[in-house]
Amino acid sequence: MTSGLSPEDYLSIGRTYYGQKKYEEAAAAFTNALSAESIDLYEHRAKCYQRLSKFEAAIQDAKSMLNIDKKDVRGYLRMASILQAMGKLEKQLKIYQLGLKCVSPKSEGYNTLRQRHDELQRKLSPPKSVDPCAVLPPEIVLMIMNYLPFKTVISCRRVSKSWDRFLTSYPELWENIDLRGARKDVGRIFFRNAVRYSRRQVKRATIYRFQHEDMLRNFAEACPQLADVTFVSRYPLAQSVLEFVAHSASLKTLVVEAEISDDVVFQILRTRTTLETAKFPSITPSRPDRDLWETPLPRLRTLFLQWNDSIHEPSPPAHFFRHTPGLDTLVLHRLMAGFVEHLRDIARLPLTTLEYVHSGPFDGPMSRILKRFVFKLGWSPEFVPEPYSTYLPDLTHLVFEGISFSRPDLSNYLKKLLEHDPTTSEQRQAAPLETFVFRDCGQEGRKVISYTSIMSASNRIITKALKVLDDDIQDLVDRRPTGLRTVDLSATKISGAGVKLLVDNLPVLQTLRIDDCPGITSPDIRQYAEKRGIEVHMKMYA
Amino acid sequence: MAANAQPTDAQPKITLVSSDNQKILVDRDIAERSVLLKHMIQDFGGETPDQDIPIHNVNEVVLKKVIEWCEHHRADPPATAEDDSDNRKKSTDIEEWDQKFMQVDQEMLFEIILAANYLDIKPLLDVGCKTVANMIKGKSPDEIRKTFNITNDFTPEEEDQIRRENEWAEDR
Repeated sequence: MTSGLSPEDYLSIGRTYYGQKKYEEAAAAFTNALSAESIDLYEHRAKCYQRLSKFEAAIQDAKSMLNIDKKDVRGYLRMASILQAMGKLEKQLKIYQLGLKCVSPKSEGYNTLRQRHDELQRKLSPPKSVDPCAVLPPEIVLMIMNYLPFKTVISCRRVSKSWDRFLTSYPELWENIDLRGARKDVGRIFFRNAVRYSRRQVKRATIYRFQHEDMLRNFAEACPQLADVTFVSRYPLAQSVLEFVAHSASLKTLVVEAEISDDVVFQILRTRTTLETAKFPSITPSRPDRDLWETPLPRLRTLFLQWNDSIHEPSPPAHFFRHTPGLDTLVLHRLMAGFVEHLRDIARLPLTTLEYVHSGPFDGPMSRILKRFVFKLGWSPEFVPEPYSTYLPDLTHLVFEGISFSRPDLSNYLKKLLEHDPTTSEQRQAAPLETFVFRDCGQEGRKVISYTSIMSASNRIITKALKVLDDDIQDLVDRRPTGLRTVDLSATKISGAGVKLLVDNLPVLQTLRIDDCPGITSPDIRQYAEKRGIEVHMKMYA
Repeated sequence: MAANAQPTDAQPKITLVSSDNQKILVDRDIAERSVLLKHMIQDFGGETPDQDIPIHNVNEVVLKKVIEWCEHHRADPPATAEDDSDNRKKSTDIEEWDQKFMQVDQEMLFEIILAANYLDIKPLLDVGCKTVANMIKGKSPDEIRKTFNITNDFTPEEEDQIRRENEWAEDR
């Protein structure tokens, strides 16, 4: 370390140590003397080179100064001065910035460095630049800040004293504490102050990297209006989540992205029966206590239960869905086998959205008012839907994925789901299907594209990974599905001729997606479609 | 400038007078993109006023710029009422034409924002605020100072204290 002392000082220190036979200390002092002296010498030589306009050589010397001691301010000042002489002002500013980072604020030259930095920065600012906080009224600055992520608002406090004052005096800027993306643990001081700046009006929080467990409880107690909380992944403390929930009396929405056991999930639901939305996308299976599932949850409207692993051992959550009479949206991933037995209760719920993914065979009746039905299977290829398929007149969004229909009567199944059966007394007009996705469903999928009633009812088909050929397109246009507005035939085997057929025969076609179709070899077809005003998405097959 | 474009003959026209006393003739429907002017016109009993309307807070250059924006957006559907109770962060995406329109120096940018605020043209105000937000986004405090020519008036100790409090939010 050479900062502060001159070579002569070190020399005399070294001599003193030598006299005291403290040879190690003496050697260290002489090393410092050497470094300090060489920084001096480099500096003098760099100055000479600079006068001679031998800038490359001058820069080399300045670099040597920084290599010897990157905490010594002289290296930065010299380098900056050379860059200034060379007219490289942007680089010069960078050197000042680097210096401000490396040099200790307590050292002698720091203030000089800071002054020169600020001067140059002002000089380099765009012409006519103005501090928005100074010229705009506070309500407009607030609007601007509302467009910025919380993290940016926080770092803006360091811009200037007036920015800091502004940002810490408007509680609305602190209503949504979002710690997502934190690089380090969040400290106590931050929390204490954030709650203070918000005047205890924090309404929403995204929690990540808490340093201390008790902070969570204190936070919940200090913010009585907290209604919406997300625990970001890798938050390991299940017990403190539970404690937090117990102390957040106004909580309406809770998302726990972190891994959590189903045991804790149901303890949470029982503890905070005011919850309206609860999402647990990363549940680990355990053996939840039977009693936990027997708590009435009349306010719950949205529930996501997504297990990480399927377990096949029967578990005891009997009648759970009898306790959630208001449930409107239900998403189940990798449902436990024991649960499946009670799926019949689901049909009694007023569900408008049901996603049933990678779970056991689902063959119960369904809520008649369902609007969105997503059904994906990763295993259990045997699927025998017919006995239970229900007519769903309100259905607008239907997704099937990974289901190998073992029967050839897929069309009949869809018919039951989507079409009114004239032999029954019900006289409801079906809603038009808006989205129909049929992915990885094997050979039978080809039949779907020929299924007239879907084609004419829906304005969107997505048939990714189906083996669609031009023949199928001919088949399709022969049926005059004139209402089709969006067609996605990506990764199919159609050719340019097939696309032309579509373009010529679908009068209201608006969007066409034909990515990765090996049969399409020329980009001309895109122009052909675009001339007719169709928006084309086409990534050529590589 | 587009503000001087010939208004179609079918449209009733209104004369606005800028703060520096310049008269600008605009189509009524363009003037009515401003809620302030719309209400003023309504106060004339729905008739197109034949007297000049003074715009005290906006000078000619800025007013013409604002009118240029209104002309480009004359066919926009009325903005849907946003759910203000939702304090989630909004997107700062700006459509291309507006981005180009906002490529002006900062003085002008802030003048446009102030004029949009005064004339009560919410979508223009939003575009202006988004533009400023995008000038801040992704920048270090030092870069923000540079952008807006702000002097760092903290002592190193004060700045360090704020830095320590918010260490979790530091990008480096």
